[in-house]
Amino acid sequence: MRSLWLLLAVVLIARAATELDPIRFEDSPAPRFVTRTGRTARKFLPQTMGGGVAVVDYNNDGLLDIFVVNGATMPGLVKDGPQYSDRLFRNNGDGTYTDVTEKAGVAGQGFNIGVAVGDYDNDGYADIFVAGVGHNTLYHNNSDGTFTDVTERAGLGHPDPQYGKLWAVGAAWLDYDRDGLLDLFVVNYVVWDPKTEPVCEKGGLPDFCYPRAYTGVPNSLFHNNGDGTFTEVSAAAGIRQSIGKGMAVAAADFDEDGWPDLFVSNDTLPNSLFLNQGNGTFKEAAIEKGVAFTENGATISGMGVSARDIDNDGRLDIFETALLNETMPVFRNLGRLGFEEITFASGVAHSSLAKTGWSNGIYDFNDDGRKDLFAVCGHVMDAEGSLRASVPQTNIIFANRGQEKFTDVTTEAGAALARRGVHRGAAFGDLDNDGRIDVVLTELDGPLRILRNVSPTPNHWLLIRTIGTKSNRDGIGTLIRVVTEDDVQYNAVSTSGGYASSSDVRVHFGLGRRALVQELELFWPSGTHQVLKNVKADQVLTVREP
Amino acid sequence: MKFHSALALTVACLAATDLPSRALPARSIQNEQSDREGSKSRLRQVLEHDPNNKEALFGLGRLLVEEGDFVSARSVFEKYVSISPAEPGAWAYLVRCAASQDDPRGTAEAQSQIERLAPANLSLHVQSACWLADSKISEVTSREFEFVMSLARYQTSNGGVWYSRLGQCYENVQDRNWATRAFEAAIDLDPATEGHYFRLAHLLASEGMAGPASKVMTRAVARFPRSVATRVEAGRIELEAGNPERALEIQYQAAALDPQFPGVLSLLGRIQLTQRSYPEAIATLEQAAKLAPGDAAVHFYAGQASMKTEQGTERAIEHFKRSLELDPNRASTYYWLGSLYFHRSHEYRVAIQYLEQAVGRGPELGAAHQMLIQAYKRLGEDEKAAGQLRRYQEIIRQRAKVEAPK
Repeated sequence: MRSLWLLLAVVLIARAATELDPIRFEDSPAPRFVTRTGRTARKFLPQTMGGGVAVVDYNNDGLLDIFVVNGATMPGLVKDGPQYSDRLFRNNGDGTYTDVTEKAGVAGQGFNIGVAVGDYDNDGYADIFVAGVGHNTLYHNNSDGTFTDVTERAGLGHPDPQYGKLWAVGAAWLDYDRDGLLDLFVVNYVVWDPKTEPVCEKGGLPDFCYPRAYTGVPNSLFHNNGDGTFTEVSAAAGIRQSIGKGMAVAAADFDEDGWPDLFVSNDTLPNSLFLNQGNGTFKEAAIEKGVAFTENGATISGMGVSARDIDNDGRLDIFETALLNETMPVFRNLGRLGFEEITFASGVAHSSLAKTGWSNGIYDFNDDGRKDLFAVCGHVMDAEGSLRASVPQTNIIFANRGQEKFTDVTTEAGAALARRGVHRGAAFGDLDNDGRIDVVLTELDGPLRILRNVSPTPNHWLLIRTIGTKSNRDGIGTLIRVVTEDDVQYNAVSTSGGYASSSDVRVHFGLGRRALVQELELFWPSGTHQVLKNVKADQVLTVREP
Repeated sequence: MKFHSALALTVACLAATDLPSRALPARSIQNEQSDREGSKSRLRQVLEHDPNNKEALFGLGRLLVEEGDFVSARSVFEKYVSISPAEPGAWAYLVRCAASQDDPRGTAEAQSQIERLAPANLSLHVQSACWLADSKISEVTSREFEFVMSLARYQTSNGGVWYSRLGQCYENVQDRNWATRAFEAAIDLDPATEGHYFRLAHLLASEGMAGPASKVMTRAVARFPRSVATRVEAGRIELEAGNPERALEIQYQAAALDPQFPGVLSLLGRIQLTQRSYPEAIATLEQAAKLAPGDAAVHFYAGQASMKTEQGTERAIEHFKRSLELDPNRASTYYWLGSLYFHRSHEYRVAIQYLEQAVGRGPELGAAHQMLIQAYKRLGEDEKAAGQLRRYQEIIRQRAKVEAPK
């Protein structure tokens, strides 16, 4: 009798494991845009690094718009025509988009790589930071559909005293000192100058040089002074002391002390984990917490990084992308014990070994209450070089089966996922407010794409827009706990994550078959604890900090 | 003059036997230490009776240098040159002592004496340049290096080995440009030695210079068309450079020359490993192990392939353990064993045993330090975890000092 029960249990578990709610995407008409790299016969490293994209509701109409960065001529680094313009596309709400770049004044200059969105002046309108090669730009949203370049006035235009003009690849907005104002962390890559660019080749053809040929640099932290200006505090905060080849950043409270921390993926160097000490300084603790290296035993070419709670234990975990043959590391947050790498144990290693991942995200794509993993992929080498055929790659999706186990469901996710490309950026958000997370992605010298989530599930969902009053207006850093009749989930407000990209500031929860959230708890950065009871599912809920 | 030659030979022998002490079993180290103490004691006795005995002074100074006691060694060699100022070998040791004490003036003085006394002594100048390689005295280092390079035009093919050694010294301190120049000089002088090409190609490949590394091996293959070893090496370089397809082409050529050459199968296994054909890689590497039962690397790679298969943990452990039996000094093998016990079976105590060995043999293995810290934490031994973290931080601090711009 006992063995019969055991057998039944095994069958039920096996069924649960195999019967995943499906995840499906389809290519949806996207605005006409090509990420230009300034293609040249000789290869310059920035040409393989661009492609940042953001989903941002810049006009507060409740619809996510798309901002995408662009390259420039090489080696001149000049946007000498509209083909190199950064672009802002307004979401018309009917599946179409209007190019509003010119009116908005965000065409930009120079060779841009990444983007980060945050309302740094708490006026209720999303501002945009653009990271570029030797030149960054801060756009202030004028709340009338236009932006003003305030880089110089804000104090963000100065070259580094030691390294000169830095090459930034991405950034994160976070309120590291919890003063109610968003500060800015900028990820810097390497010392680079077109005049001293080494010449490299692969298989007898010109190609990009390995990162080893370049010198690393520190990242930058800028404190928001509250008057439209910023002060660089990198050295005083303990950030500048860590030299890296930064690729991406995820801001999250990893050690659950209420202060936002920073995880930075580095290219061919150990990852950095900056733990916020709560006094304006950070302590680098990647080794101590077990995230500097992967179980492969070496440094990896860290690419994109995303931090959310994969196993619904209230702790924010880390999903990183890396180069072909390096796997895409998954670090499970164990709290006081640091992190445990579960890349092999979770089932992510095998499929990800064959990919070079860039931007990535941890989102519940089938609304079943478990967050899945998505990574865009494409080889780092030149598409016209000796590796030509293997440079474009398909993207990859891992469905979360629970118990920290994932299944590669890419091949079942639709024809859109079978398409190869030299993918780089990816921003995640619900473009059509149907409760399913869509993906906007970029390809080098390829078109902008929108992967519309059409997963056929009866599952419920909740999308939460936080409005801070004492905390920063976006509520970035707020930890949210959702309790349903038989489940508890956690997520946090953030636009940072992925590679060079910026995602929906709204927080998404898939609720499975549960149509009611019994308790919605918000832990605001200000320290305010807010509880809402009996919240109906399937809505975009705006929550104002009391 | 005979004595000069003997001293130069001593220096050369020292260079050739400059093995890290950790490579020796503990018993041999103890024997060596007690032999050294005995030798020092005997030399000191000689000097008590005859304070100006040149041979005793030289021998004692050399032993003190070996022990890293550069302050004492310097005073011994200073006494030596006060008695016999025309001995370039003693000046070479003074270069080493002064450089180790960050004394630019003393180093420059000693270096100029060697240049004056033995302008054509290649071995002595190479040793001096090697000793200067990791010093912070850039001006003297540069001068000595260029002096050695200027001697190349007077050398025969025998000089190749010295330039190869010079290249290794600068490769060890990660000065790629100088190491490349030295290896190229070795090839120019002695194009009939395969090893010179291998060294240059490995250096370039390890620095991400895949194209130039490939070109060096193409030259080698053209020069040694019947050499299987050269083709295997060329395949390895292509693999390191991230070109498994090209490596496979070369492997086929090598196999056509001699399919039973152990390196041929081993290379194929490594290519299959890179191409994620794990079962095939395991089969090939296990076959290679039969051909070369003493090759620790074959078992190492078989272990790597095994651990990437679903049920391969036990087999991987077996291979790694066999690899350790054959080569107990490879830090990364201890690391992988530690990693398997840590991640797969959660046997943290066993993992710690291997990881301690890994960090002892390869202090630069950051991943091993990280895992060791985590293993102690999992066992609730927080103080040990903190101690391990401090050890690692000290290593990083020391490395930063060494790598600081000269």
